[in-house]
Amino acid sequence: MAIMTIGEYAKPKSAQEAYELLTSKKNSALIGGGTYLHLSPRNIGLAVDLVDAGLDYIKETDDAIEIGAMTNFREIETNELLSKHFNNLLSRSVENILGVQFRTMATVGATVNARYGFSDFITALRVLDTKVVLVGAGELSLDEFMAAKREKDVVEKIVIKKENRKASFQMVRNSMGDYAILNAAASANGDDVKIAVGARPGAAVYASKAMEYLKANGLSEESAVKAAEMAADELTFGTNTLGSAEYRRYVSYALVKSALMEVL
Amino acid sequence: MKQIGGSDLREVGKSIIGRESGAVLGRPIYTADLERKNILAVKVFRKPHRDFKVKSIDIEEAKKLEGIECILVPEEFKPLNSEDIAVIAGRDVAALEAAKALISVEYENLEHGETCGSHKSLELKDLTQSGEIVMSGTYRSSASNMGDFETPRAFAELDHNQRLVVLSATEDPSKVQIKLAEMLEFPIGKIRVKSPKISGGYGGKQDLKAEYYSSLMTLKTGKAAALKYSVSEMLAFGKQREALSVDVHLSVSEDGKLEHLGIKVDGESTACDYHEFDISELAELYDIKSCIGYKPSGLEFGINEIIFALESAVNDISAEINMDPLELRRLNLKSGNTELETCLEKGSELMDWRCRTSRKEVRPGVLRGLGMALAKQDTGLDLEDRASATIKLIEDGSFTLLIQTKYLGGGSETILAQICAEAIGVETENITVISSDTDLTPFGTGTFAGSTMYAAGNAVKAAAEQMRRKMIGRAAKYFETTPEQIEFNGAELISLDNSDKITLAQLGKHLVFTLDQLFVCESYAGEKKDSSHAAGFAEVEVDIFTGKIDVTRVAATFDLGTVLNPRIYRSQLEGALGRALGRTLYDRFSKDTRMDYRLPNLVDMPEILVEFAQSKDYSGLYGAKSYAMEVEAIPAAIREAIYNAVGIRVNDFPITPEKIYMEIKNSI
Repeated sequence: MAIMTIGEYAKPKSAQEAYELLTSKKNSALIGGGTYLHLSPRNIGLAVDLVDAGLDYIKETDDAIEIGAMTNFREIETNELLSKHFNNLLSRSVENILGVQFRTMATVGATVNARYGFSDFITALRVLDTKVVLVGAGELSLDEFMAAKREKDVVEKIVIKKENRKASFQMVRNSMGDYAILNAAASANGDDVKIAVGARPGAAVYASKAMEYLKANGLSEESAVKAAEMAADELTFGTNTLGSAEYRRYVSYALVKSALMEVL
Repeated sequence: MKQIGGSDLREVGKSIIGRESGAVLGRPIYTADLERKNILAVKVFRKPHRDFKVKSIDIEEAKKLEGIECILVPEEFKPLNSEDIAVIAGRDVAALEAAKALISVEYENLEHGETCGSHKSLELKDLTQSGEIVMSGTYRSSASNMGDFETPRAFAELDHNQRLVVLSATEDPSKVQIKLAEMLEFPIGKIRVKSPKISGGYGGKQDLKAEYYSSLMTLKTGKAAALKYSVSEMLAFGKQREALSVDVHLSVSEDGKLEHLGIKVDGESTACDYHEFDISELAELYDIKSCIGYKPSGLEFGINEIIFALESAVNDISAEINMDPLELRRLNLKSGNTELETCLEKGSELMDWRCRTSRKEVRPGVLRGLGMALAKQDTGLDLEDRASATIKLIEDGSFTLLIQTKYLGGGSETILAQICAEAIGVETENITVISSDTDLTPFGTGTFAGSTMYAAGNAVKAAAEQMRRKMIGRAAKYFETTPEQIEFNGAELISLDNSDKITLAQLGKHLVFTLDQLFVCESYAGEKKDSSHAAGFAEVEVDIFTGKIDVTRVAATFDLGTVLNPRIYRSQLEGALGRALGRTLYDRFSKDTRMDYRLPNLVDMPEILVEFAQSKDYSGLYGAKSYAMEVEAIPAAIREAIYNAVGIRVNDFPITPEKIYMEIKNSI
C-alpha cells in the first residue's frame, strides 16, 4: 500500500528560504501541487511546502511574461493575459489535463521541475522562448534546463519572451481524462519555426532536422508535409500501456502536420 | 434458596446470572466506555502467489514490535483467499506495515497447474448446425475491476451486551451475518450486521470480505477492530471480471432468416472441460431454429460479454448478406415481442436511421457512422430474487419501512418509498426508509443484477397493501362500523355511516396509546421470469489520421415496463452508459494501479437520447420490470458504428485509437 510519511513539515516564506531548507537535509522534498508526491510509498524527512513562498503570479514586463512556480494549471487555462499571446497556446496545452479540480492543484513549477515525459505543458513551453529561473542554478533556457543533470533546486518562475509568434498545440488522447498518447506543438515567427513532440512517452524534444529544413525552405503547405514526415523519421518513440512506438511515429506525422498548418 | 411448593415452570424461577453484570466484570458498558477509541487496525499478510506453498512462517520478531496486538497464523483462522497467510492487528496501519516487514516466510514453489490442451480445441463449428451462409467470429472483452469508490471495509466491536456489531460495506448483510456465525462459531443471534450506504457494488461486495478478519480480531482481543482494504489490495485480490473470449458461430438463410447459433465462452484461466450451458434466454431475442452454448466449468461471467458477442455477430452477418442490420433484426425478432419492436422503431426514429450512409465525411479526415444492437435481461429468476418488507405506523401518522435491500446508489430506497406510499394511499414524504440492519430489518437474501427494485418492490407493495387493510380495519373498529364503510383520502379516515372522521395522525396516536400498534411484514419470491428489453443506437466520428473515436450521440430505447421514477431511471441509465463507454473504448485494467483505469470524462460523454417504451400492462408491480443494466446493447452498437464510418471491425475491447489506426493503415 502506498503510504507517504513526513517527518518535518515547513512552509517557507520565500523561494530562497525554501532552497535553503531543501538543501539542508538529504531526505527532503518539495511540495508543489502535491498531486503526484503521495502516489508512491516514501518517507520524507523534511517536506518543504511552497504554498506560502509568494510564487503564485503571472506578470507582464516590457519584453516577457513571468509565471511564478506556484501558479496552477487552471490559472494558466483561464488567464486573460496569456490568452492574448501565441494563439492561446498555453491554455490549449493544459485544458485537457484531467478535470478542473486537478488543474487547480497541479502547478507550473512542479511540472517543469519534474520534467514529466507525459507533460503537455512542457511541450508547449518548448516552442516558445522560455527561460527557467532556479534559486540555485540561476537562469537557464528551458533547453539547457531539460538537458541539465537533475539537482535539488527550487524553480522560482518561468520567463517567456514576448514576440509575435503563431503557435499551435495538438494531442491525441483516448479518454479525455487520460494522458496524451502523444502531443506536439509548433510555432512560427517568420521562417523561424519550432516543432516539439512530447509524451513519446519521453519528454518533449525538438524535431531539429525538420526545423532546419523549414528554415532553409520556408514554411508552406508543401514544406509542412515534408517537415512532418522528417519529424516522424528523426524522433525516437517508445512503447508503453498507452500506445506502441510504431503508432506514435505515425500519429506524430498527423499532429506535427496539423500544428504546422495552423501556424502557416 | 429452596422453592416452596412444586412448580412446572422450566426457565422462570431459575437463578440465572444477571446479564447486566458487565460492570462487575469491568466491561465497557456505559456511554463514555462506548466512545470509540483505541480501534485496532487490521491487515492481511499475503503470499506473493497462490501457487506458493508455505513451509514455515515466523512471526516472533513482528509480535515484539510496539503497537502490535495480535498476529494470527494459518492454523488460527480460516483464509478468505488462498493467498492470505496471516492476519495482524495493531495500533495503526504504520505499525502493521512495520510488522509485515518482520514476518519471515519460507515458501516451496509448486508447479503450476497442468494445462490440458486436447479439450481446449473444442471446435464450435463442428458442434453447431450450419445453415446456408455461415459466419464465425471471436469477440474479446477486457478484464475489469468492480471499481468501488469506497473499497470493502468492516468495523467490528462488542456492544455493551457482548454482542458482535459489524458495520460493513456489504451488499448482503444477512449473508454476512450467517457466514460470520459459521466461520467464527459464534451464535447468530449475537451478531448484528449494519450496512450504511455503499459506494459501488456491481456484485463486488456480495461475499464476505473484511468482516471476518475484523470480527475475529475483536473476539480475540475484546477491542474494536477495523480492516480497510486499499485500492492496490482490491486490484490484486478483489473480485474482477475475467477477460473473456467468446466464439460465435451463426448461420443465416439468403433471405436473411437467422438459422443456427453456437456460442463458446473461454476465460483467461485454463479450461479443462467444456459444458453445455443454456443460452436460450439470450437467443430469445430472435426466432432462431437452434442454439447451443459451451463454457468451461467454473467460469463465471455476466451477460454483457455474451450480448456484445452475439449482437456483433448479428451485425457482421448482416454485412455478409448485404442487409441493413436493423432490417435483419426486424425480420428475425421473436414473434409477439411487441415491446422490443417498439424500442427498435423509436430508436431508429431518434437517430434518423433511414438516412444512414457509410463513410460519411463530416470534416476533412473525420468520418461519421451509425450502428445499433439489441439487449435483454431477465428478472424474477426462479425464486432467486427474494425480499421481505416490514412497515410500521408511527404515532404521527407516518410510516417506517424496514427493508434489507441495499442502497447501491441506484435510488432504490426512493422508489421503494414511492411504491409504499402508492399502495397505502399517502404521499412519499410520509415514508421513512430504514435499510440493512440485521437487528431491525427483516431477513433478505440480497437482490442482485438490477432486480433490487423489482423483488423488494413487490414485497413492499404486499406489505403496504396489508397495512392499508389493517389501518382501515382499525378505523372501522374505532367508529364501530365495518371496513367497507371506511373511506381513506390520504390524510383522513372517514366513516360513511355518519361522516365522522379521524386523521391518520390521530389514529396513529390512538393505536400507539391503546397498545395496538400496526406492524406488518410481507415477503416476495420471484415466481415468473420476466424480461426487459432495449435497443441501443450509437453515432461515432472517427479521425482517420489518428484513429481517435468520438461517440457523438447515443440513443437508447427501453422497455422496462412502467417507469416508476423517470428522473432516477434516466440518471441510472446515463451512468450505466458511461460504464459501457469505458468498457468499449477506454478500460486498461492493471493489477498494479488504477491510474490507468479510465472512466469517460464528461467531455467524452455523447449526447444521450433516452426513451422509454412503456408497456400498458399494470399488473404485478404497477407494470414495472427491473432496470439498471440494459445499456448492454451500446458496446456492439458503437463497434458497428465504427464499421459504418471507416469499414473497420475491432473484436477486442477496448477499441483504442491505435487499433483503429493500424487497421486503417493496413487496409489502404
